[in-house]
Amino acid sequence: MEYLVVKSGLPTLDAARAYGLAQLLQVLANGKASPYITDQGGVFAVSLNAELTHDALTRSDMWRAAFADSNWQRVFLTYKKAWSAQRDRVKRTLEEQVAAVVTRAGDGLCVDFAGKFALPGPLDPVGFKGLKGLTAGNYSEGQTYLDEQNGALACLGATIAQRYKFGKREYFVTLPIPQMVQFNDFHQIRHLVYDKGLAYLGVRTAAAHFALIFADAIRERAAGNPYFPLSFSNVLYFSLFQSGQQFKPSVGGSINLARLLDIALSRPQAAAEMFKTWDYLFRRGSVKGNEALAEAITDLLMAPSGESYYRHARIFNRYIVDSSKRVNSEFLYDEAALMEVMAYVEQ
Amino acid sequence: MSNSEISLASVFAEESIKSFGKCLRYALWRDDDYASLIEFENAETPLQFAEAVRKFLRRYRSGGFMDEALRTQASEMRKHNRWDELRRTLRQNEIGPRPTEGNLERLTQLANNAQGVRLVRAAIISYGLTKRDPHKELEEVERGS
Repeated sequence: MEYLVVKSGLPTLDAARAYGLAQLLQVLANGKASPYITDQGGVFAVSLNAELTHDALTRSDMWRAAFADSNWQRVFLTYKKAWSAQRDRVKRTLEEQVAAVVTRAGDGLCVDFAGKFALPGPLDPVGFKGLKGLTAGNYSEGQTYLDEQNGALACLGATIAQRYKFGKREYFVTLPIPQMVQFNDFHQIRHLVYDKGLAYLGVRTAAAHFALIFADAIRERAAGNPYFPLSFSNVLYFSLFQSGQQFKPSVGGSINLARLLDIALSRPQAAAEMFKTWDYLFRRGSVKGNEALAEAITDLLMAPSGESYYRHARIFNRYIVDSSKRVNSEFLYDEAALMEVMAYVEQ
Repeated sequence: MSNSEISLASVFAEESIKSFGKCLRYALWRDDDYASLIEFENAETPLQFAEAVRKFLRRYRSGGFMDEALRTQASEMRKHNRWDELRRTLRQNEIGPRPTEGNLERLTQLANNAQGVRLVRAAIISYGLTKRDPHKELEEVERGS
């Protein structure tokens, strides 16, 4: 059976709804089957071949575990101490309206922006107040609202799929956008990746490092199978900084994962070497005084070009030739990996 | 083929670039020749690039003869990881790989315009980022001299 999440135009919200629906369906199937999320352009299709038991929710350990996740507090960051009440509201909504959610998803689940569920800012930066209108004179401070069912699904999905990393004064939020993903595989990769992290310079570095370790985890999971059925199109990222009493969104953007995943799946050995060196550069660059290394590798990964490669090569060379910097030769490229980096730049 | 059609990866894999890049990497290790690295990095035109090559070749003394005693001495130092001492000995005796005339000609051919210079200098300094196998490298130097 195929269920559809019709995209609303808010990419973070839409991906979170797809993850949320996949989680709900997996619980309804008593964990006996894993849903498959596919990006079909205008919709995310979530398919599952299993019988659904609607009263399974309240008895399911998997369901209880989903609501015990520490990410709930971050998704409802702007609610401060009231975050748990919001989480309970989501749980109640889904438990009470599960049949309606599944039926709507069967026909294509559309967002109704005239609903009463206030979109939490960390779930999608668009949710914050202070959006501009069509002209500078038409400045609107309104909150974004959506219907209760889509809001609940999105919050559930965001809790599962968003990674929050706290920097010195701000949260760095990243979310992989599924293209063709078996939900169980995603869970395993999440387990490998989401707890890893460094003292990042900024949200771009955090997102680039996340993209790298995410691609590396997929490489590991694929175990040499170039046709491994798991792909993500992008990593969306944004930061949330504290402005007075409240968190507000700051820089945001997206990283295309296609090149990284192509290398990870089709040339896993060279990818392992290349990713090892890049990970080292991020780690070394997270230490005070070495920021240039992290900035250069972030630029290379996010905007691969001859210039960004050259900048990375120059800066890395400075560290290699300076014996006081002590770069372990284990983290240098081998020639095949460096050729792969060059191909990544020139693709 | 014009330079706009040549990829960095193919320039990097060129035999002449490989040989020259490895000489630069060796000079960085043996002589701490940072000046050459900076000059290659800053070369923008074929003329500046040719000047950087000329200065590098003047600084980089190689082609010295390794007699049997020196070979044994170097081999001992290598086996016992006395790298600083070995570097000093190799520098004093001007022992190291040397780019051939053919390689230099090919290098100049590739770097015949601004785009070519950008590709060649990126490919050359990239050899500094690659792993060295010092034992193998010095075995080759011992054999070659």
